[in-house]
Amino acid sequence: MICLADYDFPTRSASGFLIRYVVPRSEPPQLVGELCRKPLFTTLTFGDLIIAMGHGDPDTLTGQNEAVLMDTEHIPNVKGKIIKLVSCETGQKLGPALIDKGAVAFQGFKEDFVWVMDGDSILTPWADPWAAKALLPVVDSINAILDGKTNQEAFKIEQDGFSANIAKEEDELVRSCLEFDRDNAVSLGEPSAHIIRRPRITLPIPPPPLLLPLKLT
Amino acid sequence: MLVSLGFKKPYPTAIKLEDIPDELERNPAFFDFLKRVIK
Repeated sequence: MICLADYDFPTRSASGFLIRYVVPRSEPPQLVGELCRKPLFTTLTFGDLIIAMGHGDPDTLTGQNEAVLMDTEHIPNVKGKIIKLVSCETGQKLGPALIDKGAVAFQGFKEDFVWVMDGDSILTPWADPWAAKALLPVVDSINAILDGKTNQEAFKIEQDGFSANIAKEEDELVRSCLEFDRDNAVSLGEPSAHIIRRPRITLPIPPPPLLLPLKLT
Repeated sequence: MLVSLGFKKPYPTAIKLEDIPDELERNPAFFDFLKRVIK
């Protein structure tokens, strides 16, 4: 399952990269935008992998328009699953709670996941070279999971991706954000956990521009 | 634009880079947040 919020600048930026590089090879349900809501998220948890992106805090992951998807008190069936949350701070409490509820592995961030993006790329967020510096390492780790690599291997790919981008970054703010993200990324659970390899499917051309309106404040 | 995926934060989760100095001056929570990011 993949569940992606898409209603403001940060969720549009992150969902754009995931729509471009992950959604084509993820198995249904693919809950994007208005579909990224608790009733579907909590009932359609079949499969061995949950990928979700939205605003979050230590206890909570939210979906579209900050509607709560799950929190430490209300966790859907995660037994035996690998869980990748692209969100802020969920590595503090929600991640460990998911492991306690039977998830075999969790990857997320224990602090804010922060990056610099180009606000003018909002119709084609996957083409934003600024956001790519933070989001492609995350995309690469998700694709590594989908390639059947272990939790530990996929996490290392993300860490190495951040480090490579830090090494060549000249902008101080961007570099600081990348270091902050790398240092606050967390991997919990079984290092050897993995899923059955999914076929590599890459869209030959980018998706059409995303014309849905955004919440601007 | 500086963005993050924080929930119910006392600082903006999307702010234009040119607005950062004003927000730093106006909002102590945003100042603390950036201080943690930029060591």
